[in-house]
Amino acid sequence: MKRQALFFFLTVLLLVAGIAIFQLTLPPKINGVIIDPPKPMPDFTLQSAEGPVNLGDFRGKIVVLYFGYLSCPDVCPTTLAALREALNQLGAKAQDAQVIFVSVDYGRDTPEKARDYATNFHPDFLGLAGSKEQVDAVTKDFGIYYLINPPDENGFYTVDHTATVQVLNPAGELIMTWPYGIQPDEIASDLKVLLGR
Amino acid sequence: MKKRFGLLLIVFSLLLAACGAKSGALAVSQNGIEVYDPVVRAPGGMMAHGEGGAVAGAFMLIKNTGAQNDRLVKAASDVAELVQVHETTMDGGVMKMAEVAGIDIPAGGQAELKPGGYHVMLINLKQELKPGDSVSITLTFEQAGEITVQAGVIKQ
Repeated sequence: MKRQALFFFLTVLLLVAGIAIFQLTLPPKINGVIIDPPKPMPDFTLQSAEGPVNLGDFRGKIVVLYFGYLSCPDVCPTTLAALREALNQLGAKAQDAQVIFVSVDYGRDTPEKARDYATNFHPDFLGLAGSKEQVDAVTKDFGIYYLINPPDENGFYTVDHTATVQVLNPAGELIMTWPYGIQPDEIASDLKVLLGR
Repeated sequence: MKKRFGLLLIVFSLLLAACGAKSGALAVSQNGIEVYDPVVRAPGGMMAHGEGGAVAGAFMLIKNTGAQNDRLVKAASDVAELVQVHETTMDGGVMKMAEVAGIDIPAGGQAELKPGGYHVMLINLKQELKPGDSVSITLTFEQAGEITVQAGVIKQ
């Protein structure tokens, strides 16, 4: 009887170990859209509250780039909050990733406002703004569409913009995009794969 | 033993209360319109710049328990210079946001104001909104008239 129990226990153990090993050999599941081969991206210069910032400053890090504007009440906050939650899930590994928020609303958003907006979500988020020429250049390079709509009778205007998140590898190449609506767990899982577990 | 049962009962009822608050807390019921979970997502840090331009979105669930179709046509609040009813749409990965003439709430139906859909847009905030604050918003319906809700400010 005792022997039978031991045999049963060992069988279960072997089965569990087998499943675990099998899963380790599977390619990691990716939730984003992979860019294959990775696309080298030209450098850009935008303004932070502390001075000019180049994309090249972040070589060696995973760069998570999101374009939006500060007067955006739902899509931008939803995405930035999801990124914050994902970074929190990563713990210390999050230091190897830099989230950059770029405002395309050059008429209203200053580098100081962009900083305060971004750091309100996470102290390590970088908020950038730029002139029309700088915004036009970087959005063109990244295939980001934006349109500043005409103001209404109160002078308020909205901005249409691509809500897709861009992910660059430590070499500064575009390797992945995340569609709007991606969940924090999915972002964290992808980042773990990119950062090498 | 009895003591422990009592404690368990307290914990259980607290849990139940927490769940109740999270999903579908009725805030106002008036003239056949019910408003659930009104919240304002705090913009944070924007008021320091003084020159205005800070915005916040208000979200809620509106049910029409009446026999007549109704329509949310206007919103107002003292905390903002301008209040509009907006709709966000996604078109091939591009986010667009625009003012709408109204939000239909059919008889016996509901309209959800949520991120990626409809929201009440508070434009040019007059004061900093902090999580835990309460914002008074007056909604105007075609049939039900004016209904004022207190929306809690949440961290975004």
